[in-house]
Amino acid sequence: MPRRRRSRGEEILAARLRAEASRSRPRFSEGLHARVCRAMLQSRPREPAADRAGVGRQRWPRGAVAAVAAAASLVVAVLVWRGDRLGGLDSPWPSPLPDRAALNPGVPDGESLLPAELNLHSVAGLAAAVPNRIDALVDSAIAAQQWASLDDDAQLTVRMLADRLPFDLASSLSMAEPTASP
Amino acid sequence: MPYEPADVPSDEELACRARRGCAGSFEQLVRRYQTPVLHFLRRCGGGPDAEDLLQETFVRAYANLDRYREPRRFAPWLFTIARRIGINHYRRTRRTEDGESLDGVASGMPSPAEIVAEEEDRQELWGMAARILSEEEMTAVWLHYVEDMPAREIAAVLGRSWVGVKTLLFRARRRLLPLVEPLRSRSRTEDRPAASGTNMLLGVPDLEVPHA
Repeated sequence: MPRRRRSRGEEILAARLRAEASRSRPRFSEGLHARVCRAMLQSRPREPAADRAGVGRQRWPRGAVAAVAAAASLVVAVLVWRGDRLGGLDSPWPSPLPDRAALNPGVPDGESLLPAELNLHSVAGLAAAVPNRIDALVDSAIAAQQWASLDDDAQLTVRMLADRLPFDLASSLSMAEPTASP
Repeated sequence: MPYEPADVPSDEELACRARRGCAGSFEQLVRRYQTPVLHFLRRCGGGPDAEDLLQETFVRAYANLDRYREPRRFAPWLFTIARRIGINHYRRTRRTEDGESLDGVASGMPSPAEIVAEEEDRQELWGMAARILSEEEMTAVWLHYVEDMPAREIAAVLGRSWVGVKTLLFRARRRLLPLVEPLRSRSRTEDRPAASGTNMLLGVPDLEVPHA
C-alpha cells in the first residue's frame, strides 16, 4: 500500500509536538527511582512463578500412579501363576500351557513339582503367557475411559483389580507351599 | 529500530527474569521507563501527582508480572497500566474538585504561580492539545509522536483496532493543524529570503525531525 505523503502542515505539527515534549521531558531522578524500587519491593516480595504454582497442592504425577497400578498387576499375576503352577489348583483363566501330565508323564497328578524339575518348555511358555494375562486382566477390569482419568480413579482401579483377582487363592497357596516342597 | 548491543538484555528478557523472581531485572526496567512514563503521566491526566502515579504504575506492574506474556512488547503493556492509573486518578480528582468547588470560590483567586503555569500551558501546543482532544486522542498522539510507538502497539494500549488508532490519529491531526496554521503562514513569508530550515521557524534550532 503506498504511504500517504505528509503535508507541510503535518510536518510542522509533528516537529512542534516533539520539540515541546523534549523541552518538558523530566530529568532522571535517582531519588524517585529509589522511592519506586522501595515501594515495589515492600508491596510484595516476588516468588518465582514456578514455586508459587506448586504451593499448597501436592499431586502424584500421572506416570507414578500408572506405574504403581502396573506393578500391582504384575505382583498379582505372579502370585496367581505360582498358585496355578505349584499348587495345582484350578485357575480362573484358561492356561496357555500344555497339560502338566502330558509334559511330565512320570509324576503323579496332585504332587507338586520342584522348580528344577520344570522343563525349559514350560518356563518359556509361562514367560510368554504372563504379559497376555496382564493385558487380558487390564482389558477386562478397566474400561478405556477409566484409563484416561487414571489419576482420579486410581483407588477405584486398584479396588476393582483386587475384587477381580483371587487374592485369597494366592494367599492359601503361599501358606500351603512349605508343606508341598521338601 | 534502536541499536542494542548483544549483551544488553531487551525489555522483554528483563520482564521474564523479573517474573522468575529477579528483582534486579525489574529495577533495570524501572530505570529505563521511569522518565518516559513520568512524562506521559504528567501530560496525560496525572498533573502534579504524576510521581505518585508513576510509583503506583510500577508497583502494579511488578505485582502483575504473571499476566505479562511474551512475545507481547513490554512498553505497551506498561503504558496500558500507566494510562489506566491516570484515568482513575483523573476521575477521582474530578469528583473531589466538583465536591469542593464551592470552597474554592470562597477561598478566593488562584495563586500567581498557578496563573503563570496555566498561561504557559495555554501557549504550549500540548497544553492546547489537552484541551481540544479526547483522552484517547491525546494518548494516541503522545505515544505516536513522543514515544515513536507504532500504531499496532498504540492499539494494544488503547484496546482498539489498528484501523481505529489510525482514525484517531487522523482526527487528532485535523484538530491540531489549525493551531500551527499561523506558523505555516509565517514560514511562507519568512522562508523566502533565507532558507534556514523549518526548525528555525519552530523556535527549535537544533531539533532533529525523525521520520515517522
